[in-house]
Amino acid sequence: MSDPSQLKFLIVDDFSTMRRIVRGLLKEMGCQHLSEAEDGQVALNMLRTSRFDFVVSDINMPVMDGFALLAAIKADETLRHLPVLMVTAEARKDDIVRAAQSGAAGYIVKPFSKAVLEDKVQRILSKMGVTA
Amino acid sequence: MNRHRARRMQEPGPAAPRPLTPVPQLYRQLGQLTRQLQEAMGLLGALPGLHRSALDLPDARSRLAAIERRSFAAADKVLNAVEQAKQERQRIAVAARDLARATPDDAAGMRLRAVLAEIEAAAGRVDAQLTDIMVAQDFHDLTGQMLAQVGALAIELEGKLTQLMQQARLPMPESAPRVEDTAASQREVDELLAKLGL
Repeated sequence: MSDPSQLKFLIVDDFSTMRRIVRGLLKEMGCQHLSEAEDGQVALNMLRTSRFDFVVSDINMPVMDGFALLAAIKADETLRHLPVLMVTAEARKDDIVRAAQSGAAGYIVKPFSKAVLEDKVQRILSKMGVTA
Repeated sequence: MNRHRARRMQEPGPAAPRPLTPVPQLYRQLGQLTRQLQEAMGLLGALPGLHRSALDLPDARSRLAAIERRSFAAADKVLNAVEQAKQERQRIAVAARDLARATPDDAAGMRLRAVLAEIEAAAGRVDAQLTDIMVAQDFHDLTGQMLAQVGALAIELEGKLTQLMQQARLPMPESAPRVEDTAASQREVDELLAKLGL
């Protein structure tokens, strides 16, 4: 796949404001297929029933947090290829290490700018062989 | 020790003699009792204050929830406005570009094209500023998490104070948040004024 506009993104965050912001920024980057989930469990159900190419997930969420979602994705044979970009309000070093060791494709700390999100997404897309 | 007291200690009384507590130990025990009494008195003095705090906590939590609701509504309103403004900006930019293409190559047309190019560039700058406004609404997420943490702390504190109230047999604080004593909108103000005959 060479066109990011064809990729299907799943934005996971319990705050609808944050989901709208990430959605808006990805849209400005040319991404057109954008879905949302309010926690890890809802996201996992969506991932298991529909095809997605990229996950942008918050860490602190009720029901199932971002780390549990990441672990579930990486434990699932059919989902483990999915890149997961973690987004969090806290930049605790042990969390960053945990995310990296658990297989996260990237890590962003809130508040972040459009440039930071764009840079992280582009890097991950490049590794996937997707060019803008 | 004075002489009379020393004599009383030496002379056997009519009853059987009892072993006497050494004086330093007696002082220590008295000191201990005094401290315990002071602590108890301090606790009794503080209880009315703690009781007031316990009564105020449901209201404080209710106000925290109101802050969260209002900040969400504000962020939502801004995001709606930004999305609409971005669409308008897009229409302006496209119209300027289309008009520039349709403009003749004479001197007047060239001047018009320059103006249209500036309009399109300005529309691009406005878009970048709108994006900044959109991203800045993440304050709601960050403050919302902090409010949730403070709310959880208030619940925990309320529980502990309630426990203390039970132990002290003081009236229990209300379990449900109080009804807001402020009007939420101008409509509510007007309705209240109408009821009052104004």
